[in-house]
Amino acid sequence: MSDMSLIHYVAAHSVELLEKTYQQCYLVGFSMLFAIVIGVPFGIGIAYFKRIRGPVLWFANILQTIPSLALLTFLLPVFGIGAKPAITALALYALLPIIRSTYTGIQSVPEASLNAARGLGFTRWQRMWLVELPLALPIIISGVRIATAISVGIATLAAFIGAGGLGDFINQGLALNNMRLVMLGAIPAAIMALVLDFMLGYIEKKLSMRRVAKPTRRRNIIMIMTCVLLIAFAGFAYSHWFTKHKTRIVVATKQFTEQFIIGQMISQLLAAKTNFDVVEKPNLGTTAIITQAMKRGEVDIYPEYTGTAYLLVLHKKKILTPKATYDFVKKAYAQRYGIQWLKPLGFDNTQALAVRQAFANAYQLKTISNLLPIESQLVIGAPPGFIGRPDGYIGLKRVYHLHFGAVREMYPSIIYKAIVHKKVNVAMVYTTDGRITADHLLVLKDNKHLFPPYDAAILVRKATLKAHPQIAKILAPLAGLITNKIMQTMNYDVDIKKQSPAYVAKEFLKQHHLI
Amino acid sequence: MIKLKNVAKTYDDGKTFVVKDVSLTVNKGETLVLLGSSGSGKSTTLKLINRLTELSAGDIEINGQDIKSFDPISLRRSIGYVFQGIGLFPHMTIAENVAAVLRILNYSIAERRDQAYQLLNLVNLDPAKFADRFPHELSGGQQQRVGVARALAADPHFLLMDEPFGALDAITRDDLQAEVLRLNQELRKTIVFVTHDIFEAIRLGDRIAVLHQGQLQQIGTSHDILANPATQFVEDLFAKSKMQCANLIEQEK
Repeated sequence: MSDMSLIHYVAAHSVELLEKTYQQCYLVGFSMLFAIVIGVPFGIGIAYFKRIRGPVLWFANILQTIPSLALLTFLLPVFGIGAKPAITALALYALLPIIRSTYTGIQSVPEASLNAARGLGFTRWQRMWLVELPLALPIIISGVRIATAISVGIATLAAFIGAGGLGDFINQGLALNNMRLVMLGAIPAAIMALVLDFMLGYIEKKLSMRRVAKPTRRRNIIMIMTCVLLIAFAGFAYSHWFTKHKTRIVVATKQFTEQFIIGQMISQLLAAKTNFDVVEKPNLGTTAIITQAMKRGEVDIYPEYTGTAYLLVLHKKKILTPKATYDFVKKAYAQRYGIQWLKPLGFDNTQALAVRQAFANAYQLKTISNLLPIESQLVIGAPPGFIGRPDGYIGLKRVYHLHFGAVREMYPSIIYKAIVHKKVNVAMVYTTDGRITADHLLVLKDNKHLFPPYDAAILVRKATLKAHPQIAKILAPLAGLITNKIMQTMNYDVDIKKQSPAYVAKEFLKQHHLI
Repeated sequence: MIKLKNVAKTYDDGKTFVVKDVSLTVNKGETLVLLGSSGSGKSTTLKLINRLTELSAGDIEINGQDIKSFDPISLRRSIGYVFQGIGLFPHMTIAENVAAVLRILNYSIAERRDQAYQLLNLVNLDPAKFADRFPHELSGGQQQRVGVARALAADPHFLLMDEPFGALDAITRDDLQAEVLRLNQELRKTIVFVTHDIFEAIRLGDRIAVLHQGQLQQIGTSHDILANPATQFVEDLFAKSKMQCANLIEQEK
């Protein structure tokens, strides 16, 4: 990528970049504020009361060892999605360094100073405020510094639970395999970490240097920096609270290309035909997170697949026909969750076996059963886990009695390269992948119905539909409109041609005169 | 006037005593030196007076009033305290250190500054030069001068000095001893001064109280003690340097 294109790229995303940076600052700033307000008193507490030292440090240590994604997910049932659980998680992570540094700082206060304070008649509070805390401050700040650096990093993960921030770019970039988008999030996050570290380091240095020369000027610098920070905070908070006015409709998606495109279609349609404040949450990692958020009313609309709902959410096992699966999940969702399945969009993103078109022609291959006569010559490329999965190799052996000559597990993007270069002759694919058409592959028919159907449809909360019945009408034209072929092409445009999901969605809507 | 009556301190419920049955009186305007080796209980006796350590038995009166009737915090604020560790606050300037007690007594900033300058002059440190410096920029002797100034800030009638010059070199110590004598002539404070240095005791003390293993051996002027040692311990203590002591006592007269 040339320098010019990078500059243009950043310029084109500058508004978004500012917004995400602001969100990141908001997350880090507030989480640090809470961590300090909680952590410093605890640090002082364990310095004074030996008995609580063990338990407090033990607890803070345990918090630290919980993987960040897990902690974020734990907090979901309590705080829902968005900034609240993210700030809570970040604050919890920041506690240990802050408690520890406060404790160390207070321990490091010279015994002589404490004796002097006692001898001069300082009360316990005066000793703390006038002697211990000021002397501990540089060490406390060094703890805050460490905590801040950790927070900026972890804050990018908060995008998974819809908290926004620079992680949105990183996650989307990873999902779209778009390195420029990843950089757009990662580089500012790194710069932010460095800038904050520098600022805190400066304060830390100035505070320890206060014991050397004239204090007044330094106090001014600290005062000015504090004021700037406070004003910035006030601005953030103000703009954050100010945005709550008209009807908000939240459109969420999971984290891959196809979902982004469908999500864009939904929000563009709604934005064009209503005056709702349409909020996109394009990064809500997993099905579990989105389902939770839908139940709580934090998300109004998102695209889902019948198979995912059937197997993963409703925990059903018996494979039904596509129609029966759709009917089942529609009924179950309406009854249990108050969520309405709109009519299927028309494409089916299921697992499938694919071969090269030429290979299929040579051996007259149309269905998976057709592979049986040549099974010993077959080498399959499949994603990791294929061998052990009931809907993978185990299923193929059980339902089709199919035994490959060899199995090569590899990452999805490699599978396509491998089959194009004839390193494997069968590939495990997802049926809407853009590379199927581009690489001239043929999807073999699952004639014995091993793979569950994954028909895509749009889900809307019933409460939302009731309040705004026009939503169903506006989204209705999409039903049945998007075939596997069309979805493959659109995925290809984003994944390989690097067009943005928003652009691809818009072109599609225009082409079908929906906007 | 400070009066100790049968004062005792034990840390193990009376099995052993750090200070045992000490009775003595410090007269108004007098400098009484508590002399003893380490472990003699001299520092503990001092700390009992401003309640940095609490009594196990006996009574202490200040100007006729039992110290237990005072709040320990306000008691300490009314008694100046100087100790070997000095303990200047490293994050405060010299002026701020000197005025620390005034700060907790809610004096205005201007008053504090004013007072600090006067006190620095009193201990022979030029305020223009030292007021805005930080403690680590000063020598040990200068730091202890600040320590003395800080103890005098609230103009207490009493001054407790716990081996204040123990960690200083001989020349600096000599200067500071002279300084204390001069100050005392100027200010006439009632001072209890703890030391293990016989010469310091003779030089500074109007009277000397010799302590050994927590018990008071003898109290009197240096001349009396040297002439009529009350116990074998006192005699031995002064024997080694008897000639020098006698000379010093002559000089001090």
